[in-house]
Amino acid sequence: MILSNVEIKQAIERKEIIIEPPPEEEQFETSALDLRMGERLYELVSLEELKQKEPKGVFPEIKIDPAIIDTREFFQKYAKPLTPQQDGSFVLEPNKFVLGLTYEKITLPKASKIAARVEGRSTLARLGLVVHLTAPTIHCGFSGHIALEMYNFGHYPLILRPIELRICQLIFERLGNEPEGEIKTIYQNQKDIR
Amino acid sequence: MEREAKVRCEVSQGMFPSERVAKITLPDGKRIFAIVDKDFVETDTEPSLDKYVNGKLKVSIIGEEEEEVWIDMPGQGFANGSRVKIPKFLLEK
Repeated sequence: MILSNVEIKQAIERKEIIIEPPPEEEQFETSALDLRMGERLYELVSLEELKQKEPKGVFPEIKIDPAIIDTREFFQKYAKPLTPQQDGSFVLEPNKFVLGLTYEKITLPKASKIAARVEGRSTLARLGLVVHLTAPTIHCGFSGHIALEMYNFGHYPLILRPIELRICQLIFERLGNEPEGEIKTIYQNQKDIR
Repeated sequence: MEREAKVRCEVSQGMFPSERVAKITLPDGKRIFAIVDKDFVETDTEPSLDKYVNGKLKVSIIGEEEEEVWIDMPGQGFANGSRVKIPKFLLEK
């Protein structure tokens, strides 16, 4: 069952859904909660840039095996921060892929029996902006900022303003039972939102 | 059966300030990575992007065998999921 805005607010009140910082009223849709874009974006280094790091005349074959790559090495070698404009906004050019996080931190305590899906927003989709690539599930027990895999399929550069732009929406669903196992969260049973 | 535990691991900064990478190295040399929120790891020194530091990862034990335990990690790596089997000796006593 998908939670309505009334049920989402009740769940937040009961600490079954913890959103930090707490959402503004305008972020609630009838059956979803809009989340804002975080302050940083990262892009993957291009093949051309990687080749430039190699000695002149060396053209290494670059293939990534997710099963063996060191995640730290991946971040260091293949990701770099996207430079913001003077006003702090980012320009996402057509056919460009970047990674970001939601501004809000989400915690879904296991006992709440609530999971969620992150989805795009139709207005942004009409401009060609995809905000997640095949990874919408926010598991019951999750705690953290939600990763966004963004791609501009449109014809025009898009200006993305951190914290201002409602970049995605979360759809909350109730599970039939409390799941086995636990993604441990320090927010379980807390009295107040920190 | 479920209980909370800490696993000895190496920790580095993640891509974002709120993220950490936890690396668990198994006896056969295989490595398990988890990209987790920073609240799920403990380290004595601040990790950075260019090096790992020793630390502990908060996990849940959901099953136990003679020499190994099944754990749920608070995040996923690129290839592994969040539920993995590790030797018992990697657990913090």
